[in-house]
Amino acid sequence: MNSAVAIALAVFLAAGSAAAEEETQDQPEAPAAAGLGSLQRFSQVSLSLRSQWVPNAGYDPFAKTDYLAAWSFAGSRTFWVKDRFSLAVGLGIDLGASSSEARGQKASLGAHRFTVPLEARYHITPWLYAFGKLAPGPLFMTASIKDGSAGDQAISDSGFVFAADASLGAAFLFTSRSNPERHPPRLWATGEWGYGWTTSRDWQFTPSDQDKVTGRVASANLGEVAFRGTFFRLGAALSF
Amino acid sequence: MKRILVLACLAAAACGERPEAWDAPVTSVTAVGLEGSLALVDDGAHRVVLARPTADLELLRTSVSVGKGVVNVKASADQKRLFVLSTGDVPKKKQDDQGPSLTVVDDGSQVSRRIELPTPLSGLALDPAGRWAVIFPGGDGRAFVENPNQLVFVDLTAAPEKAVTFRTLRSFGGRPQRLTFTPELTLPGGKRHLLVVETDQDVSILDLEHVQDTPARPEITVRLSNGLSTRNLRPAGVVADDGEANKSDDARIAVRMADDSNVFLLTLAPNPAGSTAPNDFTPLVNLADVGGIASDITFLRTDGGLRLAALVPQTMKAVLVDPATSVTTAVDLPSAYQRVSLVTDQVAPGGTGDVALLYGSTTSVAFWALGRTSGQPYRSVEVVNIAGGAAQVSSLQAPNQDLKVLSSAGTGFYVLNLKSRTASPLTTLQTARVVPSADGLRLWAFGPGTNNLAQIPVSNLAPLPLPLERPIRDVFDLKRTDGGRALVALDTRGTTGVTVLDAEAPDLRTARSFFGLLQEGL
Repeated sequence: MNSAVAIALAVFLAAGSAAAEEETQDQPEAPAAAGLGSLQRFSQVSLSLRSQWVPNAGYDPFAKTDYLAAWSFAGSRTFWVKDRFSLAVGLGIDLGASSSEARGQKASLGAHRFTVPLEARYHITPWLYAFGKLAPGPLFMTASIKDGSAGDQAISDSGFVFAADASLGAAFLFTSRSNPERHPPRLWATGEWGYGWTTSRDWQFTPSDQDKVTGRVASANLGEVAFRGTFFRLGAALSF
Repeated sequence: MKRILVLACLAAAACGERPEAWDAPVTSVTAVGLEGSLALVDDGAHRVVLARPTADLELLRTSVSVGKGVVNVKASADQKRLFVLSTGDVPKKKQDDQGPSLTVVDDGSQVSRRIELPTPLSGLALDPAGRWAVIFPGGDGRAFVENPNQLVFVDLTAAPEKAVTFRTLRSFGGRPQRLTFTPELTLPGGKRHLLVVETDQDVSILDLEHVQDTPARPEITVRLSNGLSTRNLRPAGVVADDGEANKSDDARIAVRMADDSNVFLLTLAPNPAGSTAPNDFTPLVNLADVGGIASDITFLRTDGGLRLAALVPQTMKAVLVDPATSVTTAVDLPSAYQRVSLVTDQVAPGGTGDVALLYGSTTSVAFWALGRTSGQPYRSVEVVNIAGGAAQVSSLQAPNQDLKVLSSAGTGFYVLNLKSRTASPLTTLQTARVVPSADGLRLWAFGPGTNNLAQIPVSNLAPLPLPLERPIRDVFDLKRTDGGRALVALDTRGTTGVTVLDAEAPDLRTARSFFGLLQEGL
């Protein structure tokens, strides 16, 4: 799954980069007054740590606190520029996981977002821009509990919900700021804060191998879960 | 990256924590079968989970909050109510710490009421008539200082603020061991229910009609001594009888001893004229030596009138005691029977004498008919041979009330037909527990800790094996919400699972298996 997403991301960025080069040739005027050159127009890949607060009872079996950590991978490409403003679109993946003991039984959870972030940027200086981002997409949740009542198997559940993030942030360039008309690899530090929302879903845990179970299997209902809450994300991005 | 991790850690620390129940492992589960629900006492989450089977073998699960520190759980005699006794926080250190309480859960409506108690105690005795719950020190050594003679009476029919009455028994050095509620007795002052408290050296009698009186009407304490030494005797069980229906001076309580051959007969007679005693009856004490330590006693009717029967295994005799005169008559028995149970209503209703079933760890059971024949004080002792003994006898409900299940620690059990006086053996590969259904139509046999389960219809005693995939700790034959019946097999591994079968037509293919029941509803 991760490699497929990485390939899709690479193809997307390559295509975006080629299109942008053509676009740059067609529109040679850059906002020279701002000294930005064509600095707003770039492809970017990023790696961040996402920290989300999930104050939801359905998350309680899997963590002692409401904190959910995720590694975020994203790629984007600027597709529209006007003065200091630009818009970019991309693909994002947040791979979240948590584990704990639920009533003495080992419990683990994965919450993975696959989003299409649409990002609006305002370039304050060549080395700093602020952004607002909307990132809709599916969230895949999977959880299992090694509960003794199911013998040597675990009880588990998985499924998709719709997710959307809304966030604000800023990116700070801390490598070379020269040659704004050129696009050598540049390293950015990024930080954002926002709200992550998902639709809700009932946890329905059943043994993984139902053939071993007598008769019909009744699921253990651990209530409704929704990964909603504020989050922040800190990371690094490479533009080119 | 290090800074990022530090920030992440700070964020985690700032987040709210989950409810404490998630951190409480499910270590031991007390399961109680009510009429239509299985009650799982989840002490770690301070709750009782009630699971009601439906027609489709689903379980309707509800959760009822109970006090912290559950120390005793009992169902009422009719299985319609569950009583959960909790100590609360011991000691109470903060303003919002919980005090001791008794939670009463109604099975039908699944509502509960919690009665606050003055002191944390662990013993619980329930009135079969349903009015009283009595809480007493269970002797589990929880408190630094404990008065073993304090009793807390809870009137289950009163409003919570008026329900609790605190009493301390006058003590001559003894401490309560066992509490027995008598059936309704016709006493000189009217019809009464009494509570008999056996300590380790005497017996106290409390009039439950007046237990809430102010000033308190004191209990009557009967000190137990055989008159030959100063040694106090230790009571081992009591029985009560109302005597003749139209007389108010012949109700009796009999007490057998654990360490003496005497049985005590207390006739509850009127107070002497001019007496200022606070109680309106007084016990007249008689002793009868039955020739050995009695293992069981019961009142029964013979052609000659009421008698107390005492079984004395060491002499292989039953001794009949005339309660009016204390004259004893010994009856030789073919075996050293230890227990006696009246079965008159099942085998000879309306007869002139009672019929008693004698059983114990012997290779036979006996029907003892008490009608008189010439030359002996009883009619007959009819023996039915069984192998392995009958340490435990279970009764079936109507329409099969004439059947009893005799089981022992060995492999196999017997279904005893009281009318035909036959004992049908059923063998098992391992030690089995047998559970009769509440509708009297079937038995369930299972190997505790194994996956072996079988249904035995009483109509033909043909076992139907129903092996499950999980180890069974207990089984409960419960009334379903549609009026049918369901068998719930309990597996307490992990956070508890159950398998539910149609009790009337069990089929593993239509059974339903549940897992992680105590993970739900938190």
